[in-house]
Amino acid sequence: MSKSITKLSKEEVMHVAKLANLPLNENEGEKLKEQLSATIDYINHLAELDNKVKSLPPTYQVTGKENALRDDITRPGLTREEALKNARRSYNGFFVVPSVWD
Amino acid sequence: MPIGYQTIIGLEVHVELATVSKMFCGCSAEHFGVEPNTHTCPVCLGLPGALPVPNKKAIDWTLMLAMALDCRINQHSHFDRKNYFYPDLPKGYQITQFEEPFGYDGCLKLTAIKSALMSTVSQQKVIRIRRVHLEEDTGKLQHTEIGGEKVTLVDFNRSGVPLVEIVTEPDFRSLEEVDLYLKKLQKIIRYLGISQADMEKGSMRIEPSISIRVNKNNGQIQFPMPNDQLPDYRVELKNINSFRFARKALEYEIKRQTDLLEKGEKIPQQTRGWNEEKNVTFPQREKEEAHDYRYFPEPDIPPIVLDNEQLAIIKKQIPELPDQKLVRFQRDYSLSDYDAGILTENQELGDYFEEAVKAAGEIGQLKTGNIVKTIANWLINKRIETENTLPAELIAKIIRANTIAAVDEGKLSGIVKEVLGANKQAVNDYQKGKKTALGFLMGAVIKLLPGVDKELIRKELEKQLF
Amino acid sequence: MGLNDLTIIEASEGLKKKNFSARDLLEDCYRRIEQVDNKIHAFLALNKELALQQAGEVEKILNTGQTEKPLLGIPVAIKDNFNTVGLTTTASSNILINYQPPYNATVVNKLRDAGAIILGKTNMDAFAHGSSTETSDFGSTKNPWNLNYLPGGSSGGSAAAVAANETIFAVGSETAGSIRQPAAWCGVVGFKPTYGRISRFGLIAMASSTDSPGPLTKSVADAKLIYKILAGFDENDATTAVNPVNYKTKNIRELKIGIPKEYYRSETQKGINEMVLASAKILEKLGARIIELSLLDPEYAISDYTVVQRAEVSSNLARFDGIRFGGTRDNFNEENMRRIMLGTYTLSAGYYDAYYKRAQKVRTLIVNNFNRAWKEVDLLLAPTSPTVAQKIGATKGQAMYGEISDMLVEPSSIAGLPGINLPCGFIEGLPVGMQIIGPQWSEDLILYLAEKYEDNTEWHRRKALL
Repeated sequence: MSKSITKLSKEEVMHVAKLANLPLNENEGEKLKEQLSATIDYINHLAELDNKVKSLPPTYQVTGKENALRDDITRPGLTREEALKNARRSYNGFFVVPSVWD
Repeated sequence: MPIGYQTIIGLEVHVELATVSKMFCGCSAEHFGVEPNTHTCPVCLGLPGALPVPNKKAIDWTLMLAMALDCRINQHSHFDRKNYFYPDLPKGYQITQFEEPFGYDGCLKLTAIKSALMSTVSQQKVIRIRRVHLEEDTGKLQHTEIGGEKVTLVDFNRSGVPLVEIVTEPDFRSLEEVDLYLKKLQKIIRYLGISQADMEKGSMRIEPSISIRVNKNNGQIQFPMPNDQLPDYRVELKNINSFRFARKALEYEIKRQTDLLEKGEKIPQQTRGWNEEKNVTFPQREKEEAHDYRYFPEPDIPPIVLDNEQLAIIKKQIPELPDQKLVRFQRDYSLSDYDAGILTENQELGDYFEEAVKAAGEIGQLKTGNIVKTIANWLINKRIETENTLPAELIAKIIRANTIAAVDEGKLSGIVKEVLGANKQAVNDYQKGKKTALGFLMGAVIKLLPGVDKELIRKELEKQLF
Repeated sequence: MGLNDLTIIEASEGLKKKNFSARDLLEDCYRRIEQVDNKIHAFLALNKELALQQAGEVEKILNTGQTEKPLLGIPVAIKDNFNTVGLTTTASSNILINYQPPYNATVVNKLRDAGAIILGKTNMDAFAHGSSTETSDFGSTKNPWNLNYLPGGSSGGSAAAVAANETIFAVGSETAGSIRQPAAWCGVVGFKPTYGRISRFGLIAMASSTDSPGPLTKSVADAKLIYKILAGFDENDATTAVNPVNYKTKNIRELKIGIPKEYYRSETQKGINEMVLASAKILEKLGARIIELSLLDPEYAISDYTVVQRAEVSSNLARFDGIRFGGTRDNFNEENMRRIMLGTYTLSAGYYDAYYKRAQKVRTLIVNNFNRAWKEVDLLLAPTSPTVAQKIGATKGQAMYGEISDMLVEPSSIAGLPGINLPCGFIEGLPVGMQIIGPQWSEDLILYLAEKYEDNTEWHRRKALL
């Protein structure tokens, strides 16, 4: 099997971390860079099957199910207490986060 | 606008469907004026382990709207995940449609009503609709201070409410066209009965995109051709919650962009918000800067497959739409373009008009010219409280009024004079202070002029008795 | 021997015959837990007080002669990624430490409705990201057969609890191997039904398109009982099957069992292939036809599964943002972050077609490959894992350890097929497992063959001497 060596740059890694909303410091980014590159090397093996899968449709749903729908009726949900129970911060019935506006 | 400069606008409209329950769970879809976080469940709160199950009615209604907008329908359709992080998005992704929207390649025809015609509006214009798709709404954010600290409060009552998104091609060339489109779209949606489409309440939201094209060679305004060269930027406007503000914001943007372009400056692609107090647009810095949504098909929801039979059933549910009704009113009732337009402004008025015409037909004995035209006239020009007046009652009123109008003043005064002459005793009694004599005299006049407005009779009597 | 050593069927009979009380049964389990769990560390949260209370209620029901509930009074250990009201649910992650879910998983509700009593929640790889239980944020679980060895994963706690007779049975989940592989390493029965057979509602999602709950038990008859109780359409999970066709059991003399040669690899630990083939001989003696065939090399399933799983993981873990529940995202461990990063990368702009979309096409290839096999044989027989239990620390630092060592179970997982692990031998005191894989919805056939094998062997009777 031919192997192509993937070399992710630190910028790429930090960009992915930002997309993934993962707080990574420089060191962690460096470490992950190596591991991710190795994994990407491995999954690139999938390309070897390209001839066999070219004309195949993708399978997103193995059950073959279609039209799994529900009627438009209401059902009891959570009380406000239950909804807020596990929040780190709540206030007057709301969840609280640091301001998203500067 | 300087010669050679042309406004290019595209519209993205979101409409909250008036379903009873949310899009992917059984929570109530009511959220306006509801106590925060009281209509939630593990699904719309995005708790671990929760799974979405789609609302059939929301899908049916989306299909109805797509059909009403002449869209092609994807008979194989599915939902996708749009991944990004924001506090009002509990799962960290929104379930929406990316690859296979329910409707695509539709259109909406704009026709200017003659009396509202302004010089820049073309008589007929086709706005192409790129797509009509279904998605879920996010929670609501509120900004406040707690003990001096700036915070954002989150309410998930709205999270998961079904939203239909209607996206046009950048086919608008004037604000009048935008206005006509929005009003017509709103009308169609209300006729379909799928949403109140109320901008103030947030059940209809618009996000216009606007750019200015500089046609250096000619200043003629043209219809868009499919392969028109569009400007290399566009500005998206957000936070607009009324037709009026939409117009103001767009006017402001047209001026702002034109000024910049005239100075030779380049306009950056950006999102701007509308500040209704200062009447300006301002750049919005949103935390989700990286717009890589990493769309992929929603694995928790199997695809939606519709055969021709199912589509036909949904199509049957579409009531007569405004355009069709307009044409029919002009044809069947010989109404003018303008009159028909007013009467089909909303479904209720049009229905009321037709019921009144039917009631008139049943009563039958109307000699007073064109009853249909009269009914139309009354509904258009007088303030009729259609909720409190049955159509049959309206007809009765019209009959009375018309019969009254048929009596000319000369005839009335002549008859009153006759009656007074023939009833000298009653006249004497009245002049001595006996009020009941008036009633007697009135009765006498009424016998000779049945159906005439009693008030007119009384006035004429009093005038002559004085 | 204590009551904790019984199977479900034995315990159920004993309770009905009043040989012992529900309280006795429960207390023997807790006694055993107190005796060995400080060494094995299979359990995270224990439910002792409430469980004993429930045992008291069971007594009352049994005394009135109401014995219809099939699991009345039977203690169960539940993997900690199933939401349980009243018990913390952490998925063995620091992010969810002390998380108290406000709703039960459907699986939990079904067990409780059947009368089962929850002993406690079992340890796992954090968010199921592993095949050894070493990546639990709360310490690893040890293999009851040798405390220097790992139990496998991610349902390592459940498998160990059953193997050590700390519980009568357990429930786990499999995304690719997480039931079958720890069952193999711990010498117990582990059954993963067809994807869509048992509801995922309330199971903290890993890979939405392959996650399957399933039982870990001491006997095949027990696994069959639990499977039948848990299987069925759930309106809360759109991917559950409504009325799937069940395979009619054939007589063993009519069965054709496939030996896929690509699953008997030279790298597999010495002795394993031989034991599984010896088991095939036993089945042959009972009347089955053993047929050698060729399947797509399971190595391709490694890349395929890795891409699909990590992409779905990256999206499913987006909801852990510390706002509505749980801690902040810096509480993810290294393995979690690696998987989220890889998943995000493969879905990102420019890479989607090369990775996720391509992987879903390879998935079609794998599904088609199995479908071709089912034309030749009814079921497949193969080793579950290429090694027996690994020593503690052996797997650390290898970027794709779990996915590579799960090679033999990944193809059936990604195709959504059912499979069962049965103990079929020992190597140096550590259990060897073999798997029977079948077509979609063929659980009855698999269980039939598995029971035939178990009835004719003694492996399941050996107990870990601890």
